Amino acid sequence: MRNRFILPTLALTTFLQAGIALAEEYKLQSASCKIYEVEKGKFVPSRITPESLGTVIQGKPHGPNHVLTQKDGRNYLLPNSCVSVVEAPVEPSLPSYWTVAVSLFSWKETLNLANNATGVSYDISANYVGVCPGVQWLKPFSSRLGAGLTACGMFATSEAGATSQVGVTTPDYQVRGSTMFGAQVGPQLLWTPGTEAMQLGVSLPVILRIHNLPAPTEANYELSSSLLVAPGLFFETKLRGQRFGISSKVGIIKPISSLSASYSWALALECRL
Amino acid sequence: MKLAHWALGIALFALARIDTAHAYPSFIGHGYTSCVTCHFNPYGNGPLNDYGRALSASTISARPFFVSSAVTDEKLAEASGFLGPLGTLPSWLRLEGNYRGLYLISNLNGNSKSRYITMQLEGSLVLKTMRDRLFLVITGGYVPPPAAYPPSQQVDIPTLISREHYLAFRPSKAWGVYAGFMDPVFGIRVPDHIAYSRSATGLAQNDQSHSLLLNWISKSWQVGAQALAGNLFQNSDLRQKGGSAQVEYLVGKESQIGTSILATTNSYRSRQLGALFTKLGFAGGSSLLGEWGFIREAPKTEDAATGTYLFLQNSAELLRGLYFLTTLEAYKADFDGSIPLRIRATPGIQWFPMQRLEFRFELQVNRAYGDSKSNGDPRVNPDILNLMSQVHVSL
Repeated sequence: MRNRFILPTLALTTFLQAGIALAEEYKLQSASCKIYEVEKGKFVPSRITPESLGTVIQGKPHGPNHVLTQKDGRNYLLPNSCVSVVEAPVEPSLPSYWTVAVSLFSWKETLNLANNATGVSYDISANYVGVCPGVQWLKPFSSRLGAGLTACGMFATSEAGATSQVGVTTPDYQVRGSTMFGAQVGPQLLWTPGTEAMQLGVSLPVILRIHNLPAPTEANYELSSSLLVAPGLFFETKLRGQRFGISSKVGIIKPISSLSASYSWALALECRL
Repeated sequence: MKLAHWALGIALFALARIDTAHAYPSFIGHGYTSCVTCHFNPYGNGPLNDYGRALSASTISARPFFVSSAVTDEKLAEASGFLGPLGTLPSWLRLEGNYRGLYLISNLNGNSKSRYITMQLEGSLVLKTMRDRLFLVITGGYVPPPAAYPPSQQVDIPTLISREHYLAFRPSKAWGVYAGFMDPVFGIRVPDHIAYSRSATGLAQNDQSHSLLLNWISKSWQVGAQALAGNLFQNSDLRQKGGSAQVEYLVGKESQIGTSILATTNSYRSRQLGALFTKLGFAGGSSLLGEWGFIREAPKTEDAATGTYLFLQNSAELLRGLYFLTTLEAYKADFDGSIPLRIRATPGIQWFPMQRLEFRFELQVNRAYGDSKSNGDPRVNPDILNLMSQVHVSL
């Protein structure tokens, strides 16, 4: 008996084309098709039937066969004669969702110490280590691509001091144990290349930072403004289970008024609401 | 005298902290929770067994671009042996060769220097009998003399050493006894020898020890206990003698938690290590490795120092054979407040375009927090950036 099961898939259409998400579906041509499962690098006969194959998220031609990847990451091999690919309507809109996250972060920033009398300024480095609890809102365009907003409030301990500069006598400014607080808010783009368990992201936050570093004790010296607004660019890897996940983020923060960019990274624990 | 040369060579090369390991615990993301699935050594590193080679060809690495799509992964797996498609070695003999080179640009944001380092050039011989229950593993390799030494002294340093040599007996799948020169069992044996979890613990690429290892594996558990006699190539007063133990437990299908302890002593110092670690596999080949541990170093003539380290690495599979790695680390050598906290981020790409070939590109950002001048004032130095490109060829 000819059996036709439509397996909703999105795998081969991960890209947006002219803003329209195309989708593909796999149709299994026969319930009697023999299915092999890829187990530890080998193909072994599977007890799974086309009826119970479940949601397939990716398909690849593989010689005379097709390899279909199920939502749980398992791979199955079927003869090409059993599989046909048809273009299908765009999947129904996926609901947006919220995530709460707490991240540990490190950021090193170059500040400026200026001598108002001579007009000479010196670079000093400020180190921040702290936490950034916040929320993320994400709207999936498809099972592969989503975008959203991320925001968190920064609380950090900081230290600052003159950096070594060859041939330059820097003013004596050394501080430790000062505080910093601020916020990061910005858009985020997430890509799911394979299964839902792993996502790659790019975010472009705007960072607002207020440090509490004391003024220099030496006469005529002034520290650059305690308020900073700077854009950042971060690359993120998210690994997650059903609800909880862990995310690592590395990137740069580049104050508009300064030539120097600084590196920042963070490790976050996330919980999908 | 010759032994002293060997010992000197090993010790100096250890200082150079060059990578030689090629174990990939991140492959738990493909469902492989135990190193013994792919390696002769149940804790990874060293030569691959037949299954590990086949897996590398059919799952870990990308399909070679020059191979027709009609060639199945099974065919690639069949040709994964030392001789490739030319044939197979007799069942009692396995050979392997490895070369790994690194092009390093250090201090990228300062007075940068670049150099090429041959990190690994070695060959392995495995002799098997009794249906693979009894086997002998010998790996010998070339080590370059330390670059820090003047050329006149470099010629006196031996450049050929034994990486490992041991006899193993596994009467059953569950039990195994290993005797010889091998890596101490402790924590996650990642290939990144400069990771704090390996360099700060003194368990890097040239820290093997003559030892006796007992290993037990069940469906959910893996337990190892090792008696360490130290490196017998070294003078007796330098040998780190003691023992280590490790327990791992499989939680769910692709997640593992574990704990390790190690205690050694020689004539000059004693060392105690402890670690908790996890290996989490995620559907689709991605994984997260995490290890947190403490290090207690007690020189015989000074106060002991107790420090801690953290290692986190996620490996995200973008395509078959292509992984995006992010490694975050922290290390504090002593809980004493004057010792800086060292933190490091290393994003990178790991690419296996085909079996036997691996490329790795990484940017390493090193930072110190809480560093001090000699007078106790804070010292905040710029980050140190290193760019690392690796090539690894295996036969």
